[in-house]
Amino acid sequence: MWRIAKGRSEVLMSDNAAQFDELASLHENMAHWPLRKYVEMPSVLEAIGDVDGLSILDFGCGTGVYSRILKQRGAGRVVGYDPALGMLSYARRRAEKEAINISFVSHLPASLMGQFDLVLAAYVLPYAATETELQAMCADIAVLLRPGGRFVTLPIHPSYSSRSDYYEPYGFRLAADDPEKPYLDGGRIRVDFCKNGEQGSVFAWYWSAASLECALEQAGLRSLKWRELDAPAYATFDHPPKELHAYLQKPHSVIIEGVRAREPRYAESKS
Amino acid sequence: MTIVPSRSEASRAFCSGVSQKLCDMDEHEWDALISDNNFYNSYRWLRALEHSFGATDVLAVHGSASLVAACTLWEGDQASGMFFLPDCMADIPGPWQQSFLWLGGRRNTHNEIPCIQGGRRRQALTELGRCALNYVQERGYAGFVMPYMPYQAAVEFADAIGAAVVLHSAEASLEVPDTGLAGVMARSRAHDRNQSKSEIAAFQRMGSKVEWAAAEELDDSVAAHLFTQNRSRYGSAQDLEWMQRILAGQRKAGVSHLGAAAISKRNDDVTALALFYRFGTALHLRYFGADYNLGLNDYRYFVLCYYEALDYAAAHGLTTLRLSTSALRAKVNRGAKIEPQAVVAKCADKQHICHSEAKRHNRRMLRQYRDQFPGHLSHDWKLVESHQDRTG
Repeated sequence: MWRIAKGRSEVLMSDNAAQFDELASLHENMAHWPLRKYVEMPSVLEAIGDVDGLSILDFGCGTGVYSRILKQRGAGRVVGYDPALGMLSYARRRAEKEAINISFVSHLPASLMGQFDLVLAAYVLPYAATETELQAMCADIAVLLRPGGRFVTLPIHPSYSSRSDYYEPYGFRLAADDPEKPYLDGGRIRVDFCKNGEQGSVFAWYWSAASLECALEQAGLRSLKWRELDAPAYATFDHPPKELHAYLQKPHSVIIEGVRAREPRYAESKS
Repeated sequence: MTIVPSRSEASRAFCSGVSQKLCDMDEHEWDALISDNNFYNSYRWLRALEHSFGATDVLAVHGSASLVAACTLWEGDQASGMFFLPDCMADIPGPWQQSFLWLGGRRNTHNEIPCIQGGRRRQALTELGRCALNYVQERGYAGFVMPYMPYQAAVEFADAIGAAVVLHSAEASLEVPDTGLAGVMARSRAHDRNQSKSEIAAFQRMGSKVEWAAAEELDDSVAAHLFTQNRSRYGSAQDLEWMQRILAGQRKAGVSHLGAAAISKRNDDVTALALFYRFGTALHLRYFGADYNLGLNDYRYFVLCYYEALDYAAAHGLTTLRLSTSALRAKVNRGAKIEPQAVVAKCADKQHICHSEAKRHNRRMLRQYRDQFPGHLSHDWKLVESHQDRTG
């Protein structure tokens, strides 16, 4: 959770990647937190659906948790991308030892453009610090997809709880720089990890639904669909473990899906 | 494990401490700090050493969320040889006959400090050095050393902890082209190319064949027998039981999972065996053994350790063949580059290592290698030269 990625926006965001160099094992351990294990990951995997034979890019892969899962679920080719070398090193070693064939890269060569059936970018868009960066990041991601390819991403939920301690039982706190304006477009949010004591902090940025949709559409992504996180393993809302109820009422993230337009965008505007 | 806060620097401070055993550490956290070339400081390799020779203390530096630097400890050898400090520091004045703490894996011929990348790397190295200094002062060592470090890594570590860098060895490596042996032959000198061809031809003419097997599938007693023959031929005093203990430790620690063996056979008899380990994009040659009773002169050492290994590496997407420190001339003639290795040394008390002596020694060693291996030295030798000039 809370990863960073960069492409054309690489220069702009190099400082953000460095935030993560020492957080690899924390990132990996988060996969076992109930929030991720029972809510986020099943929701994301349900949204992604069948991956058999697909070519997938895990953009901002961190320690490669999703990369490994997707490869093990039958994906054809999986590439994990992350500019944080500490994360990538963990990801490479782990996959190597588990004999899972994944290529992990710290930059995206031109040869990867238009190569993927699916790009997953979990907790990536919140690290765009300006509207320009957000647009650049979405554009960087969209060009990696083949026409018709799908994009699945998890931004900060536009209606996240602005109470900074709301998510503390789930292992983290979200505190807007300006507590009076927690939903300010481009407003900075401090993310403190506190599952087992204070384990570090990173900065993320809030983007409204309108800004997110605008950036994704400008990047050539169509058929945008919003999906709330839920707990697919449990039949009804009341069934998940009690401690997850408050989270499910006010999740900190949401899934957005989109599809890369089959025709270049400039063709649309000409017609 | 005892963790002692190192600084009063709020949540971003590093904490360092000493652990009595490696298994206190998380394997994946540890290995995230290891470069492809630093396989002999990887978790499983070190665990294998623990299984074979007993646990050693571990220095560890933690950030708020994870391990940021670490290394295992041992005490070097007490008799002349590659791990005897007076031999490593032969012409540098210093208290080398006294007891020094050795950083890195036991009898490693390649050491880098397992450490994070990024902006706080130097700080993590400094903290590890501080922790090592406390350790030696508390236990009465004369100082600590980390030998067999790539020159650049040695300078980085020494700068971070205020220690001396002394060249003492060199290791060979081969960049593996996509085309494997054919690619290396294409860039070799005609004489070397012809020699390689004639060695391969002789191997085939004598009816020898090569098979590859996973290390997990090997019969350890056969492998140990061959390795021991080779080791004793080159002066090692360790017996068969010693080698078997090492291989058993590797099996227990899961190192065998990373191993690949090139086996030379003649009439279904195993005549020689080379054992390699895959780590990231590197293939590390560690053991060679042969049945010398057969009296074969079929160049099986070169065939297994270089020619076949190059094709194996290329076929598996590996880009570097790491060939260690011995027989450099033979390796150079088969396409290898020579990389400088240094020992980083720090004394526990005020007795400092004479930096001008160290520099004089480093310049002398640079000249020797340039004379011996012209055209076969890696870029790092240029760093050696510029570093001596800059600081000298």
